[in-house]
Amino acid sequence: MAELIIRDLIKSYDKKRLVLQGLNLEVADGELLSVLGPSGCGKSTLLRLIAGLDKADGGEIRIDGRRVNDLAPKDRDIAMVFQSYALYPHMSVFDNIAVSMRLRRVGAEEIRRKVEETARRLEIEPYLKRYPRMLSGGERQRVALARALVRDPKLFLLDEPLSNLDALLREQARAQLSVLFREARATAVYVTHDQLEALSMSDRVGVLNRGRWEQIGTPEEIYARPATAFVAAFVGSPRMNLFPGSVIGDAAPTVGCRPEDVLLLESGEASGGSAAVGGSSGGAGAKGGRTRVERSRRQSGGMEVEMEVVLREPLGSRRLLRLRRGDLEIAALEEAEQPVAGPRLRVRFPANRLHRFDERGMRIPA
Amino acid sequence: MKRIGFAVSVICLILLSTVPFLWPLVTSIKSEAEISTAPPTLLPRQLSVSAYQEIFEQRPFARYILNSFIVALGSTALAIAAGSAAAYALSRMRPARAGAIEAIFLLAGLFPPAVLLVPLFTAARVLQAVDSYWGLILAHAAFNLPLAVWSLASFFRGLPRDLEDAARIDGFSRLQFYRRILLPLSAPAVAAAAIIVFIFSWNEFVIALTFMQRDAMRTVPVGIAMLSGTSAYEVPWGQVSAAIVLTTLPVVIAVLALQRRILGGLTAGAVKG
Repeated sequence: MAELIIRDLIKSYDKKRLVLQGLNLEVADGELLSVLGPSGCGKSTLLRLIAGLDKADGGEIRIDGRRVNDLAPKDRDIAMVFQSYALYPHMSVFDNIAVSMRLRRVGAEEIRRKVEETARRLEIEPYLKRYPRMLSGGERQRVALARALVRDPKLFLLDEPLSNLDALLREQARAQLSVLFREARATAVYVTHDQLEALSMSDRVGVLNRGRWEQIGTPEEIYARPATAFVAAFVGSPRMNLFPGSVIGDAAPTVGCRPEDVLLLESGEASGGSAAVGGSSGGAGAKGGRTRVERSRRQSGGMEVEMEVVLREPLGSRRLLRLRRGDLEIAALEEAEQPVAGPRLRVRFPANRLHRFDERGMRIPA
Repeated sequence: MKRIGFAVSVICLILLSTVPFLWPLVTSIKSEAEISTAPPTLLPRQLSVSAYQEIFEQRPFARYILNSFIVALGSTALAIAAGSAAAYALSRMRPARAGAIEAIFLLAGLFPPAVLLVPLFTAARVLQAVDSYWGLILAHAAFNLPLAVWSLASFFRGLPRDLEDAARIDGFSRLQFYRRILLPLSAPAVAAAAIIVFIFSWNEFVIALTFMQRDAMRTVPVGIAMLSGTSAYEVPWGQVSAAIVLTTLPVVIAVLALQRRILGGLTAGAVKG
């Protein structure tokens, strides 16, 4: 295992538009870093450059201290898992896993031992003689993983390896992958557009947008202190409410409040009295459930606005509410068993749960 | 009513396309005397294999077949080898550039062989390729190269890009990828192209007629055309028919044998489908 260092990485496919605009990145030995971003943000390009499948137009890539810019993919000591799995359809599962070692002239006995050991770890031992077309999606995915793991590379590159699985399988595979990489103490770059995968599996997450980092940090940092309005809106589900600060009497150009942090009060039960703006007297006025009372105590202060309920969407344990007041439309969550009545609700944005951003979308520290 | 109409039209179509083969088949097993009766009989009254005996005993027909096999197999192998390599390169080029090159190939493929006959023959004479297998093999392969390149390039483009990326990371060289992954996966397309090239070469007449001047070097189509009776005005229909049947059979068998391979999707399972 080894660390990965990237300096000022530049890539352009058409010599006009830069897909990567001078990226820097350090992935420590044994660290799993997720690259999260919308489609077209350059995350797959980044992975292809690290793998050596495409050539960088500028900058430097170092794996384990060695500059690899001019090395062929096979000489970089990396392994990659593709979204489509990219298994060789005319080779058995055993051959698919073994072929990279055969090309490196590893002895037949050692190949057999390593393939069987890896297959055992991934629970695909019974399928070694089968062909990829005879396997289910989840099994193919594990074979692709085995093909990467068996090589014991310095660096793992994973390109949305779970996004072809159905939801249930994806959850299992996510947990399995987490355990596997933690045990292997593997250095890995994991590209995904699924924030749940990024937040749940990684040591750190890098949010990429238009070829630049918006933020690189631990999953907790990314969620609790988004560095930009982009990260704030991209990470979190349902997505964060972002609106002009003036709506609730805040000085910041843009403020954000996560739907799960928005406090709902029945109309007329508001504390403090003043309609739109209130340096209100805390959560004492909120009733209708222990959870909400506790939450409101914790999240004292903040602005209150009266809003109209446009839509209630059941999400199982909770319900997603769409609320409107004039041009302002926000989302909020309520507990399913404790609905707050009324077509109109008083909504409070707790002061200590507000995220403030300047004109350029950069976070304003509290 | 609709179904009957459908069945009738299908039968008509099958008859229309098989009669040119069925008639020689029937003729070839008639006796010499029965062939010339008017009106002709639909089915032979009496089976006779003398026509088959004659073409092997009185003519060097076995030699013609051997020549045809050598030329057809040789030109097929050459066209597929060169064509698939070119197609692989084209499929990995930028589309605009590849399109231009393929247009040139297409243009070359549009020339009817007869137009090129004189320059080709001159070239063959200079190269001392007249009456040699390799001269005809080269010519046949050249005429089929555009087709091979076109069909294979479009097939290669359809193969998932990830496969080649995975292969590069696993350590395959380009040549290894081409030989051990690309060609095996393209077996259906390669088989289809090979059959078309083989049939072309097997049936080709004009170039074969010009290039092969010694009787011992003639291919089957030329050999059949040269069959004649005791006088120039007498056509030995029995022998001609027998020859036609014998030369069509290998092609029919080849197509039937490879048909499933052509249709079968070998790429199933490569990527999620």
